[in-house]
Formats: sequence, C-alpha cells, structure tokens
Amino acid sequence: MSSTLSQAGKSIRTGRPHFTGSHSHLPQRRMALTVVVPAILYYLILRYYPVGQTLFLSFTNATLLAPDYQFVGLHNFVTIFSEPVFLKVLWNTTYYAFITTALTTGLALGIAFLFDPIRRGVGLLRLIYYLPTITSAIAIATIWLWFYQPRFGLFNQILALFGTPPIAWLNSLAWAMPSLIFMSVWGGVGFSALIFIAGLQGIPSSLVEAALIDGASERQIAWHIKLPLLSRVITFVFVTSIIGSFQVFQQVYLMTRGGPLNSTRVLALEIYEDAFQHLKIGQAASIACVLFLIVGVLTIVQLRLQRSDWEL
Amino acid sequence: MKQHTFSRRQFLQMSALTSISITLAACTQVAAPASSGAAAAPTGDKMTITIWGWWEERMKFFQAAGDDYAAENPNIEVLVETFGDEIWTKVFAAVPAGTGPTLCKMQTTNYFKLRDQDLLVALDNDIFPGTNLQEKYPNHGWDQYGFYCIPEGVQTAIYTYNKAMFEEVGLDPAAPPTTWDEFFAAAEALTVRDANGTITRAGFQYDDWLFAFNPLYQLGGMIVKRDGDDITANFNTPEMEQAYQFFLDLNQQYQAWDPNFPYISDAIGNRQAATGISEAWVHGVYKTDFPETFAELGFSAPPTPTGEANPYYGRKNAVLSLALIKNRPAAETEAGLKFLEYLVTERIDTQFELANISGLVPAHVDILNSEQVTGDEFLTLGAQLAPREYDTVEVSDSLNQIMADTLNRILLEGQALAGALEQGQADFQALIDAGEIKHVY
Amino acid sequence: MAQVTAVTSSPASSTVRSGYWPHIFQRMHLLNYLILIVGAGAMLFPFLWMFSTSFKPRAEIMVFPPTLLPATFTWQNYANVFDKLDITQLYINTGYVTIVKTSLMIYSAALLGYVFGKFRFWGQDFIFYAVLFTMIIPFEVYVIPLYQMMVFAKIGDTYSALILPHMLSAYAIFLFRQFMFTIPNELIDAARIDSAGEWYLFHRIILPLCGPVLATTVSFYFMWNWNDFLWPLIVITSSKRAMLPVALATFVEQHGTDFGMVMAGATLAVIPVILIFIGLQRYVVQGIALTGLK
Repeated sequence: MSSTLSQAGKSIRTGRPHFTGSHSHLPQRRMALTVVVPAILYYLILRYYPVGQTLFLSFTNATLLAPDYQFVGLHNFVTIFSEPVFLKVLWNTTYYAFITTALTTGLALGIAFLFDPIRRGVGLLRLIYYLPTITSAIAIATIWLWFYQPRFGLFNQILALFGTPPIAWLNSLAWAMPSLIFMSVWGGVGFSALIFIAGLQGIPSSLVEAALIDGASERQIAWHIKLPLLSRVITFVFVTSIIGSFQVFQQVYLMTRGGPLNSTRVLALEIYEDAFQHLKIGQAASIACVLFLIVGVLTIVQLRLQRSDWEL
Repeated sequence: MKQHTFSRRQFLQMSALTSISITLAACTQVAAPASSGAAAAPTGDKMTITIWGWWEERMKFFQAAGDDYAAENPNIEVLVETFGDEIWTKVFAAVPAGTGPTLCKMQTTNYFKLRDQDLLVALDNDIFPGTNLQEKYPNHGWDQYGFYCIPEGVQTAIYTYNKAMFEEVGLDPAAPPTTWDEFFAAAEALTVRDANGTITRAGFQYDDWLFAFNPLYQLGGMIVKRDGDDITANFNTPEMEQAYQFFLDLNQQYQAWDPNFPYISDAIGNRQAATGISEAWVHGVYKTDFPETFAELGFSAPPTPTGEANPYYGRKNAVLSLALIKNRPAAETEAGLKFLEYLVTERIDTQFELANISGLVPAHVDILNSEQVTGDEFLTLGAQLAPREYDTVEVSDSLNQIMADTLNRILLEGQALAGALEQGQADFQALIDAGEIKHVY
Repeated sequence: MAQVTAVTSSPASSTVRSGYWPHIFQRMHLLNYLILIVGAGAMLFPFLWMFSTSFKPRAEIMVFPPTLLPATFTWQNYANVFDKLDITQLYINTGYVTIVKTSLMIYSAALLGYVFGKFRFWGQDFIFYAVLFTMIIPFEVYVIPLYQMMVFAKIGDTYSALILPHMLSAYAIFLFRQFMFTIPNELIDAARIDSAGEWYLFHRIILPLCGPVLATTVSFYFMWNWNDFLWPLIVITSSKRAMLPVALATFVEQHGTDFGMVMAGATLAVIPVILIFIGLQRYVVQGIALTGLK
C-alpha cells in the first residue's frame, strides 16, 4: 500500500502521526481514554495482580487447601535448589527445550525451502504439515501413547515385523525423553515451517532476479541470499520456540508423568505436582518464579538479538 | 525501509510467539491462599445435590439411587458428575473456593488431605442410628480422627486367573495356587513366548499401586516402626527384600512377568496376561469393560508364602464412599446429609451393587450370611477374605512413587537390591520428615 | 531485463530463465515434491491411523500384525460415542465460547493496536510495554489466583469466567499495532478533515484495511481458543457447560480400553478445527506474507 504510494512520488508518512493542523484533539483524546484506561485496568486486575500474588506466595509456606501461611523468606528457593531432583528437572527441561527447538527449526527450514519453488498443490500440502499444530494435545497424546506402548504399541509391532525385540519407549531410561522429543518435533515442525514459508515469500523478487542475472544457481541463491535474509526470522522462531518448550507440560503430563526415574520430569510438571499433589503452593510458586526468570532471560536475549542493526 | 522490516519481523514474531508460546503453554497452577467464598445458593424451587466421582460404572449406582430419591422428594434433584483423573485438580480448586459438590466420592489419599484441611463436614458418631457403621468398619480410625465419610466396603488383594488358560497348560482351574511356589510354577507355565523369546502372553501382571505391600504383609513385615505416635521409615528390612525379590524372581528367574505390559486390567482383559494380583475393584473393571474375558476369569485368595490361610493375604484398605463437602450453603449440606441417610438406611441394595464392582462387603455377620453374598462368587470370596486389618500408615502417591522408583532402579538401572532399598529407605524417611505421612493407625 | 520481467509479482523463486536449466529445474521440483510428500505422509500418518482405527471393531484393533485399513468397517464406535457423550452440546458450547472469545479478542486487539499505533498520549510507550510484558508470563503462574477472583465475583462455572480472562491478548494487540504503522497517516487525516467521527473512522476505514491481519489472527486464535484445556478444566464443572477438549480427556480416561471408541471421539474432536482451517488456510499464509511485504 504505502509502497505504491511512495512510488507515485509522494512522500508519505506512516507510523504515528504528528497532530498538525487545527483539528481539535478532544475526540481523539476521548477515544484514547475510553480505549486505553479499561485496558490498563484489565491488565492490572487480571494479570499483574494474580502474578503479584504468586510472587508473594513464593516467599511463604502456603498450602493449597488451608488459608493460613507464614513468611519463610528464601526458604523455598533454598529447598528446591538443594534437591538433586530439581537440578535434574532443570537439566531435563533445558535439554528438552534446546533439542526439540533445534530439530524443529532445522527441519522446518528445510521444509520451507522445499516448499519455496513449488506452486501447485501447495495449499493442501501446507495444511497437512499444519495439522498437528491445530489438533488438541489430548487427541495427539492418545494416539502417540498407543504408538509408544512399551510392549504392544504400533512402533513395537513394526519392529517385530523386522524381527527386532520391542523397545520400552516411554518406560525406558534411554528412550523416554527422545520419544517425547520426537513427538514434539512432529507436532511443532509444521507451524515453524509455515512461518519460514511466509518469510521466504516475503523476500523481494528484485534481489533474486538480480542474483539470477549474475548467474547464480538456485542452490547458491538459497544458501547465500535467502538464508541470511531469513536469519532474523530464524533467530526469532528459535528463541520463541525455546521459550515455549521450557513451559512444556501437557505432553509430559499425559505421556510419562515425569518418566521412569525422573528422566522426563520438567519444570511445569514440578510446579503442578508441588501444588496439586504435595499441596505446597509456596514451593510451587517459587518454581514458577524460576521458570518465569528463565523465560524472562531468554526474552531479553531475543530482544537483544533483534535490536542489532540489520538493514534489509 | 526500516519501518517495514520492523513490521514484517515483528509480525512474524508475533505470529510465532502467539502460537508457540500459547499453544505449548503448560497448564500448571500456583495458588493463593484459599479464599472462603460461599457460592450463591441455587435459585429456583429445586435443591440440587451434586455428587462428584471418577468411575462412571460406580457413579451409575449413585445416580440410580439419586433418581429414586428425587422421585420421592420432588423438591430435590440429584446430579452426578463424573470426571477423569482431573477430578482432584477440580476438587482442590473448587472446594476451598466454595464451588465444590455437595457430596464427593472419596479416595484414601485425597480423603486424608481434605479431612486434615477441614474441608469435610464431620458426621456425628451415632449418625444414622440403627446402622452400626462403626461396628461394621472397626478399623477406620473413627476414634482417632472422627467420622467424615460413609464407608462403602473394604478391599483386599485378590488373585485373578484365566480358567481357560489354566486348562490350556494343564492346570486345574478349580484349584488355583495357594503357595508362592505353586504360584511361580503356574505363572511360568502360563507364559507364552514368540520365536525371539519375547513374551507374547505374560504369566503374571501386577497392579502397580503399592504393589510391594502384598508380599510384605504376608511375610509379616511393616513399613514403619512405631514409637507411640512417632514413626520412622522401615523400608530397608529383610521382609521388604523378600517382597521385592518376589517380583524380581517373576521377572528374572521365572521370566513370567514383563513390567512393560499394559496395566493389569487391560492386560488380563485383552488376554495378554494369564494371572494377576490386584485390588478387588479391578474385578469390576473386568465385569464392565471386558465381559467376554470376564466369563473365563476366576478369583481366589492371593497365594501366601507357605499356603496357610493368613489374615494378611495382602494389603487391605477401606473403600470410602461419599463424604459431605464443606463451604456449601447450609440448606444444601442439610439435604446432602438426608440423602446420605437414605443411601445407608434404605438403599442397602446400592451397597451390594457397589460392593460387587468395587469392594467387598463389610465385616458384619448378618450381611455375610445373606443370600446376596452367598449367591455371588465374588462377594463370597470377599466375605471369606473379610478383612480386619487396615493400612498401618496413611498412604500417599509419593509413597507409591518411592516403591515404583525402587523397582525401576533395579530393573532399569541395574542397581543391586540392597542399594535400591537403602535409597528407598532414605527417600521414605525424607517423606516422613517432610510431614507427608502423618497418620498412623 | 525484459526476460526477467516475465516474472510474476509474487515470490521470487518462480523466476525461470526459460531454456537455461529446464531439465535440472524440473527435476529439482519433482524431488521437492517427493520429499515433501513423504514428510506429509509422516505428518498425516497418526491422523490416518486414528481415523482408520475409529472404524475398526474391537477385535481387529488388537490383532497382530496391525492392519492399516479396517478389514471390517463399522460405525459402531461412533454410535457408542454419541451414546456416551453429548457431542452436539459439546460442539455448541465450545463453538459458542470460542467464537465469542475470538471475536472479542480480535476486536479489542484491533482497537488497542490502532490507539497505540496511531495516537499519542502520555505514558504511551510505557503502557504498551507493560501490556507486552504480560505475554511472557506463563499461564500457570497465575491460574489459581485468577480462579479465585472469578469465584469472588460470583461467576464461577459460567461462560463469563471462561471468556473474561482471555478477552485481551497482548500478542494480538502487538500484531495490530505493527500493522497500523503501515497505514498512511494522510488517510486518517483526510477522514478527519471530512469530520468523520473517531469511531466511525475506526470502524469504517481502519478496520476494513486490516483484512489480512484479521484473517490471520482469527485463524490462530480460533484454534487456540478451541483447544484451550486448563482454564475450562478448572472453571467449568457442570456437564451441561462442558467444553470439548476437557470432555475428551475425561472420556479417554474413562474408556481407555475401548480404543476404537476413543479414536472415534478424538476424530470428532479434531474435525471441526480442521474444517475451519481448510476454509481459512489460504488467508493464514496470505496474512503472514502480505503484512510483511512492502
């Protein structure tokens, strides 16, 4: 839109307007007030206040069912960090987040580049890749639990067809986490791929044309032009995927509940069980704070990476 | 222009952030101290009594009784809601906030939590005169902790076996094993393997809930040492060692048990396992979910080490029925109490039906000899195993986790039995120290 | 140059220098298709398997080796699901809540995006970043206090409690704000000169311009709201107001052994979202791409 206009030679200002001229500002002020003030109230009441309560809780020994509690300062934090299980939980969650994201992003990139040159049948194919993303977690978990059943599941039946003994998948120390990761990658690759596809489509054709004129092959174009141009998007998708993966819960809760000997125990599960099994919401709140902190740090990293100057 | 790259970049950012962060969002919760807010009393002329439970087959009986009750009392409506595993999340969120049900089916571990937090209405000790509930259920801890829940029955451990498979391998279906040795031999004989040596039909499958208690109690072991009201962990004992060895032998020596098989009710129901030792309620699952296999099944007392009849056939615990939930409008709680009375005094048939799928009849002479019991194979067995003992300590999910972890350490990590038990001992003691195992009977 | 302008206005890579590498080009595309189709097969397989199992009778599900297509086709599983679950009611409930939530979310996001993007007022940046900040707070961090507020306001177990905490979405606001930056101020000034009221301006001029973003956000949020699990789990207790994902979870737990029926239930739960996505998917990618294009 604005580009067409600018090509027409007019200099168009976009972004926020400077209110010049003799228009009265009152109607605008009124609108701004009517819109922004309720929004502020909304966020204060329905977000900041409950979050504040949680932060507050993390310094108490509150329990889920009882109304009274006492301040215990940093006791909760000391407790969780001195438990070896918690350190394992941190490691598990980090491992899961990074591996899943790396695999998902890498595969998604590959898929996006494969999609790039083709035109026909794209709609249907894209939809198929996107299917896992739009399906609810419980439906997916039900299917994959059957795939992974340690003795009679579909995967083991397929192995049996090849004469291989069954693998205990979700019951096995070595395979439980990889099984979860595999399922998550399957579930997440379509979504990231879609973003990358859109990103690729947004690359100005003039750049590619110029390269072609200069005699570059498709592969060279892909590697030396498109990929670097996508790097912003890639970074972004990568970091936000990691943020999301750190919060993984439903898959673990539905499939392994922390897995054999805590090998798939993750932060969010720990929060849930502390709150609902051990009824220790003070402690659960402190773990939530740790999670919040990690997510915050990652977000800052992402913002920094994007602030770096990168003219396109 | 910088503006546009900013927009595209940020747009993509938002799209991804939206779906990734939100779609993958965890669903865990952190709570603030419970606020007491009584929910608004139901308007309209009908008083609705809500009952929450988790097993549809069982809740059907309550609904049927409820409908009959509503027919007699036109201003009352009984509504039964069944939830899955998530019921306790709902209960813990709703009950302190005052939006819980009138009555709720109880389960031992969560019953303790609710009772201790004063979220159940205490019932008078001489409630429902003429029913002799205390006499029928002597070991419920009434004197110590008060009366908060109508009992439904008592569970025992039972031995389930597939008679058709018995015949197949030449065992007598009318004479199930009574000693451990016979039991091991039978399990071994019933196991079927494929060409690669992988088990295709297991001779035995266990019920993974507190499995070690069965052999432990049979051997006369105890999981805690008592000193008045104080308890210390007693996990690392010769009896416990033998109890674990029971399962390890099945797995390694007789190779009749593969812990990777589906849950006992699915395994036996789908004919993937031949025998099993489980809590009595699993009987009800076979009856309702696997009727064809159920016709082939036989039930008996679990085998004991030496074969002699033993009050400690295995773990026994109370099946708790409905409890009255607090924080509801007084009129509703009142109506709930009346419905409970109706159930206990006038609807003994519901009790039998419930016993038939979930537990065994109370240890009371006149009921044990009644036709309803003697005419039913399962109830007769239950009456014979009429339990008198109860868990010595209140059990919890964490204790079950410790038991499971100990077994997994041996089977998956290859730890030695002694070392694994030592770790279990340490973990259990930590649990006691943290105050999670509070009550001793 | 002339050769190259044969290019279409869309994506760059369809540029073909005809006659230059025709053979290799075609081969590459074929290879692309091949790999993508194999990949699509992997994506699709679990769904196909779910779909196929839902039509198998119980005996066939346990059989070994597993059959891909049902040897005996039966509708019984679906009949059983309809018997045990009030599917129509679930569809209506979930549909109603999703539509209301999504509409409110998108409308408010457009409005707030417009105000944050095109207006100037004191504290604007700070407020905006404060709103943005809520995005990174994981939901589990504030779920229960939120629930207790709902109870306190006496709206527990109502649709209002379901909708209220998710009425505004910081992401969507951000999206729309970014989009607003691309709308030329002159357009707005011109409308104001014509004495268009501020609200008229928003509804009649700004909103229609947001087409692509609207489509994209509607698709995303519809799907997300439909699949919402935790909040409906806690808030809704009566079965007549039950939501589909929660009901499905309970259903699976109750009847896990009847696998065919479980798969039928899962299929029924998944189909509406898929259908909607088929309808909107063109806009989804268009929306993402269009907004980013100059």
